[in-house]
Amino acid sequence: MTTTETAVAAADTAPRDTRQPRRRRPWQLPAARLAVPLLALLAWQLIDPVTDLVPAPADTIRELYSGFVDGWIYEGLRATASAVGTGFVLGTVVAFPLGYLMGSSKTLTAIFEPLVAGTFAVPRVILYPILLAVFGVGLEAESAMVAISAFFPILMSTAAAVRNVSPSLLKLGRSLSARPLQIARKIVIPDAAPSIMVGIRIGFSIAFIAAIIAELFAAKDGLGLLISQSYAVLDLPRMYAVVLLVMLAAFAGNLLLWWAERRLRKA
Amino acid sequence: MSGSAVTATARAPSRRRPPPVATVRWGLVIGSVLLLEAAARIGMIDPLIMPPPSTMVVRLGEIVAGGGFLTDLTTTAAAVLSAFGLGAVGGLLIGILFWRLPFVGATFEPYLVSLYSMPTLVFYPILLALLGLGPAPIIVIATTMAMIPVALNTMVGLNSISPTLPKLARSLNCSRTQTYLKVLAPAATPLVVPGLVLGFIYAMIGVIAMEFILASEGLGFRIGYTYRAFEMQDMYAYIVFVFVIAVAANVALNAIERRVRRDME
Repeated sequence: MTTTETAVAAADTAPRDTRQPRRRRPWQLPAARLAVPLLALLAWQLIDPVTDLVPAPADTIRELYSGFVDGWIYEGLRATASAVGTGFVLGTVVAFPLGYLMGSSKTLTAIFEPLVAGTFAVPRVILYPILLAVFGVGLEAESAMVAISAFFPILMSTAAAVRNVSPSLLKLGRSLSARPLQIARKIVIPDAAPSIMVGIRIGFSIAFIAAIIAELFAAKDGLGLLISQSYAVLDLPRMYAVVLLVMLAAFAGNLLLWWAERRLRKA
Repeated sequence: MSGSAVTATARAPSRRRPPPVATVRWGLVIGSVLLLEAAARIGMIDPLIMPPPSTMVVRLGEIVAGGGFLTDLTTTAAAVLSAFGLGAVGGLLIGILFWRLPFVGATFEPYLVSLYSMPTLVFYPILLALLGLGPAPIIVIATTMAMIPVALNTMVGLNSISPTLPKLARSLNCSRTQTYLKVLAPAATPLVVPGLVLGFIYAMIGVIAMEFILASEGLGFRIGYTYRAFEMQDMYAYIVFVFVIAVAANVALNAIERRVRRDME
C-alpha cells in the first residue's frame, strides 16, 4: 500500500522539475500572493473582539493617520529617519572603500576576512552601551550603532563582489592600459554593482533593526521610544500604529533597494 | 610543460604565505588590545568610559566565580537552545511542506524572505502583554528568526535534488520512510546544515538582543543592567564574555558545517 502510494507520488513528480507549479494559470500565483496580507488583515480583524490587547485594524490606521494630521509622530519619525540615514551613509562610506581594497587583494582578504567573518554571530547591540558611554544618549550613539551594523554586511559583499569580477575583464582593461581609477570606474564597479547592492540592502535592514533596538533601550526620541512609551501607558492603538509604521518603513526601504538592485542587474 | 612550471613557481610563494598572514592577523588583534590597554592605563581613555582590557578580564573572572553568573548563563543558553530547537523543527517542517506543495511555497517564499529583513522584534510589547514577562516572548521572537533560514534552505535543498534520486528509490522499492530518510535527507543535507547553522546563530543573536531590552535575567539583560547601574567594569566583562562566546560558537558551527559538507561530497 505504502509502496504504491510512493510510486504514484514519485511517478507524478519525478519527470518534472519539482519547482514548477503544475497546471496553474499565470494569474493564480500573484493572486495567491496578494491574498496572504489580506488574510493576515482578516485574522487581525477577527482577533480584535477576542482580546483587549489587540485594537482593530481600523482604529490602528485611524491613530496612525492622526499621528500625521495632529503631528505627534513627526518628532519620533524624524529622529529615527535621521539616525538611520546618517548611520547608514556613514557605514556605507567607510565599508565600501575598505571592501573594495579587501576584494582586490588576496593578502588583505586572507588577513581580515576571518576576523570579519568570525564576528558574524556577535549580536551588535551589545556594543550599544559602549557607544552610549562614549557619546551619551542621543543621535550620535544611535547613528554609530546603525553605522556599525551596516558596516559588516556591506564590507563583506563589496569584497566578495570585487573578488568575483571576471579576470578577463581586468586583463582587457590592463591591455588597454587603463589607469587603476579607470579600471575601478569602468570595469570593477559596474560589474560588481548588483552584488554590492545585495549587501547594501541587507545592511539597511540590519541597520534599521539595530536603530529600533537602540531606541527601545535608550533614546531621547524615535519610533522605538514611541513604542515603549505608549506601551508603558497602555495606549495600545498608538503602540500598534507605530509598530505598523515601523514595519511599513522597513518594507518600503527594502522594496526600494531591491528595485535598485534589479535595475542594476538588468543594466 | 612550461605552463606547469609557471604555476609551480607562482604557487610557491602562496604556499609560504599562510604563516605570515596568520601572524599579521593575530599581530593586529593582539596589537589593538595592547593599544587599548596602554591608552586606558596612561589615562588617554577615561576609566568611566572604558577600563583597561586586563581589568575587564580580571573582573570577568570574579563575576564567573561569584554567584549569579551561572543563572544568567543557563537562562540565556536555555532560551537559545529552545528557540533553536523550535525554529529548526518548524523550519524543517515548513521547508518540507513548501517543497511538497510548490504552489504554497511559491506563494509564501517572498514573504518569508522579506520577514528576514523586518524588525519583527517590535512585536515584543504585544507578546509581552500576551505571554507575560519571562522567557516566552524572547523565545517566540528568537524562534521566528531561527526558523526562516532553516525553512528557506530546506526548501532550496530539497528542490535541488536531482529527479533521478527519487526514481532510484522507487526502482529499489523503498518505502516512503526509507525514501525520506535514506535518499532525500542525505541529498538535501549539504544545504540544510548551513540553514541550521544560520538558524542557531540567529537564535543566539535574537535571544541576546531581546534580553537586552526586555528581561530580568540572562547575559543580554546583564549588559543593559550594568550599563544602567554605571558598573562599567562589570558591563565590559559581560560584553567580553558574550563576544568570546559568540565568536567561539561561530567558529565551532562553521567547522561542523565544513565537515558535514566534506563528508557529503
